[in-house]
Amino acid sequence: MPEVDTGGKRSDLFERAVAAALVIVALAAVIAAVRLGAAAVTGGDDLLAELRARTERRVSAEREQIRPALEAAARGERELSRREAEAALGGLAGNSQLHLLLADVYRGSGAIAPALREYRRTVELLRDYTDRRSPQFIGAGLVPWLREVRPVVEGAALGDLHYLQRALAGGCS
Amino acid sequence: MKWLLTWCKAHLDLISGAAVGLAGAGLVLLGNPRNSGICASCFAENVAGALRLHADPRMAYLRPELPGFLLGATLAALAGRGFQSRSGSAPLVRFFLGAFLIIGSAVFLGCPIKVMLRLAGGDLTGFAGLGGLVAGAWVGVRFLKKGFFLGKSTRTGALAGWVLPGAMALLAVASVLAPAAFTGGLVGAAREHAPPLASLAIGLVVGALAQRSKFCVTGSLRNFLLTRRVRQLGGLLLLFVAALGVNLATGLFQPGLSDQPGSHMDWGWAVAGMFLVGLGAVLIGGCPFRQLVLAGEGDTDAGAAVLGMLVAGGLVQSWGLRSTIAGATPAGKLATLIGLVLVLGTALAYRDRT
Repeated sequence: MPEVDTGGKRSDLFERAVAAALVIVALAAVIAAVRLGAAAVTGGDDLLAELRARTERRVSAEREQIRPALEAAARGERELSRREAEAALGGLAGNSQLHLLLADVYRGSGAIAPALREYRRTVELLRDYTDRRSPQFIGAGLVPWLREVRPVVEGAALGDLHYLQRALAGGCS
Repeated sequence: MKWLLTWCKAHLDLISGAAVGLAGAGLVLLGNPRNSGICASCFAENVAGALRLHADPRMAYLRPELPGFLLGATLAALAGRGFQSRSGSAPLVRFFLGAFLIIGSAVFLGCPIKVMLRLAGGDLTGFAGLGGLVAGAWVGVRFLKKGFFLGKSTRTGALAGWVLPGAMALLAVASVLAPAAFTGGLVGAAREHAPPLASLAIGLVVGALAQRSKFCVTGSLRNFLLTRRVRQLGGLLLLFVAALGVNLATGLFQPGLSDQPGSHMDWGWAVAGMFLVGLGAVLIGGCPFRQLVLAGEGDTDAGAAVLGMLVAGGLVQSWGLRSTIAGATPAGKLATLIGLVLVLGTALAYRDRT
């Protein structure tokens, strides 16, 4: 009985599998390219968020639009500060200090999910807030609070919390 | 004493693995970013930034470890009479594959060495990278078994082999002596670094050991997959154990998924990125770290891969071909897919068809 050598068949099968994978991945690349192009044209959220994070815009806290919110916060008028900050955000969505102020106000009033969202926006706008050696580092007070609220957070807020934990952990990224 | 020397010579791969692990964890204690004591891809991005190949100041620092690895290999090769200028094995293909090693690493957020260091630091997301790396190496080995070959390299004029070590010597000097305006490292991850002289010294030692032992994370996986001998994974295992030991002793071992430094939760893209690295590394004979070591020995084909790595180090930042802690960027996903097409295409094109 002669031996049957199946090595050639296996080899062909492997090559066909790789060729099929190649076609599938190429198609996926084309689709991704089209979607990326569309996102760039229409201002897709992902791309814009990435660009915003990279640009790391700084807007001075002395801007008139922010001052009432800051002053109200300084006086301890939490509700007024929140209203002022939310109103100011309409025209200053890229102001990291305003987002940070709003986050602190939400946190102070026990609104965990909005606070997490605003902290994340703050960090996305200016990564210096997560830099341990920066004077703007917010981790000292924020990390224990994140641990404290972790058990009661769920849904989209959990994603924000995880994002903040990773950002504050440092690392090379 | 003689037996010790003999034992060391016979187990140089294990010693190298342990040295890389110790150096990786030790450099974090000296100031490098957590879980990133050694990361050839992060270092390539940092050096590219310092050379103004991208404009992100958070990733711009002339890390002395990178020229240290290459020059350590050069010194060891010279001492062992192993330095030889050689070229001719598809350098342009290697340039692009070297570039895609960095892109794949940037999508995962770390090179193969950093996969091990992340795991040793308790970062469980590293398992996604390890899975992708092993799968990529497995496919690469299948192509090697089918006769994949990029062509024979031959001896060439001595000067060619000295180009990259010469350039790296300049970078090494600059990384220690140049003003901060050039070396950067003023904000973010770039600001976290060990003292430059210590970084350079550790880089030289690790590069020299890796040259003598041919140690490489992907190379270990490739050799295991080719021979099925567990011994081939010894260096890799010791890398992990050494780094884990240091992390446990110093309180840097913090197991978790969501709160790990320099990581993201895009599992699929982490796997895909490291699959690209595993496959590409097997095809060009080693991961980014190994390419540096080979280039240090006078291999100008590996030198082409190193140049591709540095160019890609700039592109991943300036074009966003990477992941952030929020996950893979759209451009990073697209670049990974393109990389998979090109690397698999290269594998098919260069296989033995007789």
